[in-house]
Amino acid sequence: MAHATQSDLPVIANLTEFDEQSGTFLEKLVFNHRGIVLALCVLVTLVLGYMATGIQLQAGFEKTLPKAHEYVLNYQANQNGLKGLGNNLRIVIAVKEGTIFTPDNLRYLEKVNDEVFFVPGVDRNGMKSLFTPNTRWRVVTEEGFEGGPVIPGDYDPDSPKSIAEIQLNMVRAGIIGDLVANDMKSMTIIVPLLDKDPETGERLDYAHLSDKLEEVRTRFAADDPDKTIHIVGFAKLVGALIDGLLAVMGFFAIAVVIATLLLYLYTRCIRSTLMVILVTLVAVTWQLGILAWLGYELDPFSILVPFLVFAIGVSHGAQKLNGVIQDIGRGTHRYIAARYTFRRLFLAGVTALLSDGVGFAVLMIIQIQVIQDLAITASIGVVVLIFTNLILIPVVLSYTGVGKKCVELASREVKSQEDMHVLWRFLLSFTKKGPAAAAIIVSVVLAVGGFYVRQDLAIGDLDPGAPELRPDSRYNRDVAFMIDNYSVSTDVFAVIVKTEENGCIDYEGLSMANELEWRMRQLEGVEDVGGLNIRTRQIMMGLNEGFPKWEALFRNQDTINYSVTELANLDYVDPGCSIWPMPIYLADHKAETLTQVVDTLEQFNEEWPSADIQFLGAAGSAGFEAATNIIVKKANTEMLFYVYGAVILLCLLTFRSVPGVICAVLPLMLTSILCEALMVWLGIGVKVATLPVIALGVGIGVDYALYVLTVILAKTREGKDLTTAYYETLNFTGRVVALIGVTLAAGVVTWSLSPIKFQADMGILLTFMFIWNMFGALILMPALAVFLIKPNKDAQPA
Amino acid sequence: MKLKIVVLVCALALAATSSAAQDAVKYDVLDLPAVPSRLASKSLIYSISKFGDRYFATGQHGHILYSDDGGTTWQQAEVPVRSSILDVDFPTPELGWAAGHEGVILHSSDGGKTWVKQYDGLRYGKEGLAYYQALADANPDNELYPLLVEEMEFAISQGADKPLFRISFPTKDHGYALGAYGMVLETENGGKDWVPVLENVQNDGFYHIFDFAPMPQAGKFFASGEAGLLLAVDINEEIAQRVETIPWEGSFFTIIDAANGGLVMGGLRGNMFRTDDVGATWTAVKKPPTSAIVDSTRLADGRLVAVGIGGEVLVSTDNGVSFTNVQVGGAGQLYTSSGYIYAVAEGPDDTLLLGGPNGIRKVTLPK
Repeated sequence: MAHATQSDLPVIANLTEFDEQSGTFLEKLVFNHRGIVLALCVLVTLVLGYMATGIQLQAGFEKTLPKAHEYVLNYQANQNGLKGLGNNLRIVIAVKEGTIFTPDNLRYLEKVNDEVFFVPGVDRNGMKSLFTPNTRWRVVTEEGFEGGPVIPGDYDPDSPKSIAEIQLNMVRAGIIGDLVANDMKSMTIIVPLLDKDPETGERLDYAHLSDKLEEVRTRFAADDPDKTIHIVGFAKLVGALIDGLLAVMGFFAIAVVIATLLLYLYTRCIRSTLMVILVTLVAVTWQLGILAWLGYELDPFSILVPFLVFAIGVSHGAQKLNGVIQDIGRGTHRYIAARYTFRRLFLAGVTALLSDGVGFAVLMIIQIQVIQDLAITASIGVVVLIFTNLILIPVVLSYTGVGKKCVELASREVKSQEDMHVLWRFLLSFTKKGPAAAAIIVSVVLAVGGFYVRQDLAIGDLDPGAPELRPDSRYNRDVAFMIDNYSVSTDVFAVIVKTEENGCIDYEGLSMANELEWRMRQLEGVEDVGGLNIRTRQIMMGLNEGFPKWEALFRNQDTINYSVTELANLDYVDPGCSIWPMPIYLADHKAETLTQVVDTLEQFNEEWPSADIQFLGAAGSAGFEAATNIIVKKANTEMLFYVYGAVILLCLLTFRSVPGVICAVLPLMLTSILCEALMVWLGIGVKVATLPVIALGVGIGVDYALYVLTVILAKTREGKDLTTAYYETLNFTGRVVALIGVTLAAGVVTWSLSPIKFQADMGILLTFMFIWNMFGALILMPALAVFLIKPNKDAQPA
Repeated sequence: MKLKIVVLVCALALAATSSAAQDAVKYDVLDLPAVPSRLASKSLIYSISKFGDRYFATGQHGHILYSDDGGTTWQQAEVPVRSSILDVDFPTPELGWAAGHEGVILHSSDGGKTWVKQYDGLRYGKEGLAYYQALADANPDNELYPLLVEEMEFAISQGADKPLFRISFPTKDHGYALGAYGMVLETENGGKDWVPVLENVQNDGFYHIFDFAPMPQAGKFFASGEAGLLLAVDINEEIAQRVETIPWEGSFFTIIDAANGGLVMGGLRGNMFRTDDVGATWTAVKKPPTSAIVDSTRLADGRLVAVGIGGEVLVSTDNGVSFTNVQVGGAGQLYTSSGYIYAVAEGPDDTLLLGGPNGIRKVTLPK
């Protein structure tokens, strides 16, 4: 990459003296028709801007699954048979004073219950609570079964006798811990959802449903300090994520303001600052428009791409602006200055953008849709930036020029080494052996320490509740409430049990399911196991008058058949009697817990291969997380390998010097190690969201090296000593490097405020990487150069 | 060419997997030994009993547990099957027998630490058929034997589906096992041979037999069962006669002998009846309504304890005339898996040992 120095092109103040046919073909094409280029850009912006308004938000979970992993394939192949796992919401209505069994509280609960019943999207037949007629009690008598609805038709909340009857029925129905809390202070409504509206046939709109439920919550619990409503379930989680997406959009505005301020502080020119920001926003508009046009939806991952595109765009815009300002400062006409800048920096800019692109492109190897989408959308953004920030900015600058103040600033004499700001002198000191050695020793110590800490780097999500959201989010507080008061867990690993059609009644198969269940129960992290085999044992006892010594899977085929038939009606097994889930309820979703479950399943399958019954992994949130962890762990190493491979290759092509590559890459590696150590320290595990961070950090981080080291290498090849070379580099591109580091960080640091936990994690880690890479490029890189790069003694310093 | 090789390799792989599947051993709890588990005392327990100073508890997955510290800590015995074990009996401190699902009978000669299999339900039909066929052939006029031959043929068709609920050894050689569908087995040589003795039991409906308790007279006991079945058993006469005076036709899951020679039965819907005259007359026990009474025991001080499956603990201080609900310290929530009671035994120092779906609980019993 040839970074031409500022002084190699003639200063031309008068436009007529300029040869319009000079420069590259592309330059002539653009600048000799700059009116058309500008008009085209305005037109494209209008069209794509219109399209961008139609972009959809979505927060579905399918795209975060590793699509090629066998667990996901198994789930997708058997999805229709696994209704029992269901898309349910659990709504908990709690009272603080007394129990739910007071006349007032019962009336209140019934009202909320009825209200939920009419929320669109609710499968009303399947809804289950204390108040629904399908919640029944049953006891065995000498005449067979006797039972009825828990709340009978003649129920009267004002009659103590009636309330006592309900309490007895509730106990006999065995719904404590499920529909009524263990402490009697709350009740649950289980709300199955319809995938499609039966009248309109439209797909369930999660955002709309979530809003409706929020409305019910506000109406019934917001003003009443004695009552609370907690809503847990995938649909509500999606609702919370979409709210989070909207919040993140707001952060974009903050990022724009910060970047504008930074750029202004650097240039002191309102006109050009606004121009660069505006053109970069045009880039974001184009990118969004193209995504909408291609049918992409914004999810919690890809919503972050506009931030990145904006940050990268501003930093490259600053580059261009820097060049133009310096030329104008020297007296060149604004049109010619813009052309010069284009001539000098277009190729360099393309190379830098391509190196960013490498970081994105490497992500394509990860077989997880959201990450691949992230890679594609970000790559689109980078291509857009080539048009807007490398072409459009110089063209616009050729019209507008820059403000007087910044020209004055730029035309000041370059300060000598001694007169430089203390910060620059500090940086320059690293070209001396002593400080350089110190910097390297400190880095080695950091690297060793970081390496030691990163051994504890965990895979997967570590916090309880829905990992997508913060532990103290409304949703996760609702989950915590649920877990504290009910015998349920939200971390479910569901083994998919598969047989031939009508094979689910086979004694041997159910017997093997008992074995697997028992093995799972031995694991520390397993709280409970459910499934057809367990319920079959209980029903078989029920069919034998409820005598406990019958609670076993005994090999009486008639009894098994009868029990399973009853359970098929309750969705414990599909109507074809061939697929059923064995949900394993876990204490948490830590990788260690999931690995134990996966290993136990694999070992069981190895020991008991069967042609008649298969125990497949796995559905349920924990099943998918287990699969994701497996993929993520593998991808993490693979991705480092590829991203470093690509960066090393890129550096080698650019520098044509092995010591140069070492100088460029070692600081990046230090940052990668420290980033992982930081993850350990912050309790962030390696997960879908953190995979892109290191790739992006390294891919964008190498920009700094490209800007700084190319110039240093060029100067040392001319025979200058390292200190002089670095001094001249700092004057030329070094300051922009600092600006780039800060603007990139400003673009991502706002994510750390996101209500979506993984966005916050990404924001913190990326900010760290961008800043730390900047220091690496400005301190460690010259320090390494002291020992690795020798000035060319044969060349005479110019 | 390459494609062909791929196809061939795939075919070979398929053949290999399918033959592996065919070679797969059948999974059968009767063939598999119990596995040591830290959860054994915390998962389903069917029975708790005490012989000498040692407590025994039985459960699923072939669990036989023993405790030498009054039921606080439990060791898991070595058991050759993974069947559900429902009962144990030790006529001497060393010699013991256990019975359970799949008609399994186990024997221990080291005080319950290790067990061997003596019998299982697969033999019941096969040996029973040969036994009754021989009897039928030898006694062509007998009307009962052909019926029993039929019953054994049915048993063969069903496989080992019948649990043995109780096992009792009056002496170290002579024992009985009682179970589902009227199954009664007897041994006179310490379990070397187990012989069905259905012909001596007046149980035409082949009702389940759940429990037994000794009568005051030596060599006699009552066995209670399904649908109001009560059998008066005379060991010496080798006969079990149906008692017709039972005032109710529900199932009696448990029967206990009171200190005064009376007997108390409990069963479905919490019904309890008692007799003071060895079954001639019965009166309903005075008690609060409860869930089904599934087990009972007599404490050393003569009090009777009966438990409802839903979690009620009833105590009688008047030999079973009346029972009252007591709150035991450490009871779980009624009608939840923490509260259900499947089995009861007296523990040391005013405690009860309760068995249930969540294992063994040691609870304090008020005096």
